[in-house]
Amino acid sequence: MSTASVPLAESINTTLADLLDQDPALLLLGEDIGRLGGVFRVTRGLRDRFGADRVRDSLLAESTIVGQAVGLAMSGLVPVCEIQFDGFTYPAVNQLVTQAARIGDRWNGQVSPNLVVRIPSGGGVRGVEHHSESNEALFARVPGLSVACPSTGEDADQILRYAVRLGSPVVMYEPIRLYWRRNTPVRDARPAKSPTAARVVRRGTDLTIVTYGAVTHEVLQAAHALAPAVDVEVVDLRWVAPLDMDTVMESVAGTGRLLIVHEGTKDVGIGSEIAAFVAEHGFGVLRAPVRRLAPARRAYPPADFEKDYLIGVQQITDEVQVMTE
Amino acid sequence: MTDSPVDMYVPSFGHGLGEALLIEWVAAVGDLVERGDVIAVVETDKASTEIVAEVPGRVTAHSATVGTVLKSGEPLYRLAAGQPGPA
Amino acid sequence: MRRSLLRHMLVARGIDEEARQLQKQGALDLWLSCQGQEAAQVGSALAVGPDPTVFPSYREHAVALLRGVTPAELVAQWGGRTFCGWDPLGLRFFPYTLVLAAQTLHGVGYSIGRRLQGREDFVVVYIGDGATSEGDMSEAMNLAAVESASVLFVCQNNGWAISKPAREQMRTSLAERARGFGIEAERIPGGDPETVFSACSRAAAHIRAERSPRLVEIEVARMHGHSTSDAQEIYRTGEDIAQARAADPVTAYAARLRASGLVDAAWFDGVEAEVRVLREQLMKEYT
Repeated sequence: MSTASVPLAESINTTLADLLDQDPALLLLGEDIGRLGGVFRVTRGLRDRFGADRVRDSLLAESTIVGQAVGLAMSGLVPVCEIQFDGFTYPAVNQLVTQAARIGDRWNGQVSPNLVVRIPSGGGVRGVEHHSESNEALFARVPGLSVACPSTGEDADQILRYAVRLGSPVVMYEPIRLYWRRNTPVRDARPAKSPTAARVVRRGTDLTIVTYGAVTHEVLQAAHALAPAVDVEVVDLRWVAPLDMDTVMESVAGTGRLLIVHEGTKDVGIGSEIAAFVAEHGFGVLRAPVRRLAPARRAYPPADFEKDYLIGVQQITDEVQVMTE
Repeated sequence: MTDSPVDMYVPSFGHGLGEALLIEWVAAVGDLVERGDVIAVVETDKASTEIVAEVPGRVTAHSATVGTVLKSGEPLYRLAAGQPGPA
Repeated sequence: MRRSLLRHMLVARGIDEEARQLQKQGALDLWLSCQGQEAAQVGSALAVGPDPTVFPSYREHAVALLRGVTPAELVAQWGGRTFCGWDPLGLRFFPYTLVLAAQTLHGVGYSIGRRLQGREDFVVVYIGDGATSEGDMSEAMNLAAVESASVLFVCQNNGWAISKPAREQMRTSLAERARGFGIEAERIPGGDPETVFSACSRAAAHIRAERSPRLVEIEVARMHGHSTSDAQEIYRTGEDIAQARAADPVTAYAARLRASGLVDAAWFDGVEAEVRVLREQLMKEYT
């Protein structure tokens, strides 16, 4: 059950071009995003179209990118930054956490920075060290930052359009292994209730899987494969901060079972927060213990071993079967 | 001397790119190639790139036509591997 | 101009003294004294004029007051009332940034952003010697240089990063380091506000003409500890502290102008009365 779709990289390119077209205050900033079009070509052709002032090849220094973007945002511009790979985000953490996230409060609301940081992330592409990581949970803990993890071009489009006008910084993770994928599992076409809402991408009655990012595809494949024996509902969070727990609770109320699947490591991860919330507020509707499926707490391995690290369709299927026996 | 022809496959292109458009055959059927010689030019979603011979030998067949989308792991051409002997 | 330099220095000294007193009384949680740096701050702030946007570190109290921050607004964050007590955009004096050197990149980015919008892009970034060890400072200097940003970096080198002396922090002057990034720079003594005013006026003229960055490193004396929580007597010799206090730029400049006849006792009485009112207002609001 799969369908042809526009690859994520092309879709984001179209959205960015449209945003640049609509808002003269918006500009892009990142390593190699201009002349080269980015290492993933997400910004291909944009420098030619909008000029080097608005599609800016940054220095190869992540703190410079985000720190400069804070100043650009203070001046009234809307910087949309690209960090080249997830694992290179760390030099920018100080500027994101102690600065970008706190500008609004520090300025008593006088400045509300529109600032977006796009980060290609995740594994499954035989990346070398630091090129396959998922550190979204790190930023999800930071008050003042919103963190999005879209798994389709349509969602990325809605999220980006919302993010550039939010008035506080947004970090958006883009799954590398979906950038050029043209075949994706079938999804429920109903749109999300709001730009910040989670999305029920498969309706079901027996068990809820809450997930986000690239692994949403494996979850959907597993769910489709399990039908009709087990009817799985799949919630694609789309945002990990803030979390749309209303949609999660609504789904769990209907199915009574909850499995959380993500690619970032398990301990103190996004799944921990969701499990805790459901235990606190939804204990009465649960028919079985909440379970989490995520990699163990260890660094992302060399490419030869990434299959052991990533959560595959079979593991998801097995887990669902155990939970619904 | 040469071995009997074997299938040579489309390589992976990295960064999750699993497909490429076949633009041009550089090595014709019958050509002798050294390791590293360009066999074909393809275009991935990211860039134009060359597919090169992995071992020396003689190209005995093309397994795809120009203008088709190649997938990593599919047969691309056939090669009779080995250093050709004196004529 | 000279009277203006001295008046701003005296006001800053008076407010700093009152804030130290309020902290000792428990009315403020912390105070970072700028005593000894008044000539550097007033001289640089008057030299660039009211138009540039200032990205301070957290000790630029004399600049803040000169830009129109009221004493009560200035100490509000040190009394736990807010993260920033004044109107940053209106005064073009941006909030204090406590994470060292983070504001250097904001300042350069702001200048670039203003230039892109065709607006006044002159930015002044203040930094202390200790904070120049942060990577962001090097990144900001490099970014300003390659983007040819209209940024004046003003480093007040008071010889100490809390307890670490400057000679253990750097093997060159900051001015020399700036030149390595392609930024024209000058190192000057900070005891005389006129010296500072001249150097910063030259730098400002260069920035306006060339639209490229400059750095001025000003050697200042640190009369008190890094903060009111810092017991500098533990790591500084009494002789060193006495020397710093003897080099007090405020008393020295006051004596000089009085000797030259530019100001008289009546003028001092007038400024003292002004400072007394400000101190009383501040005391009332915080006790």
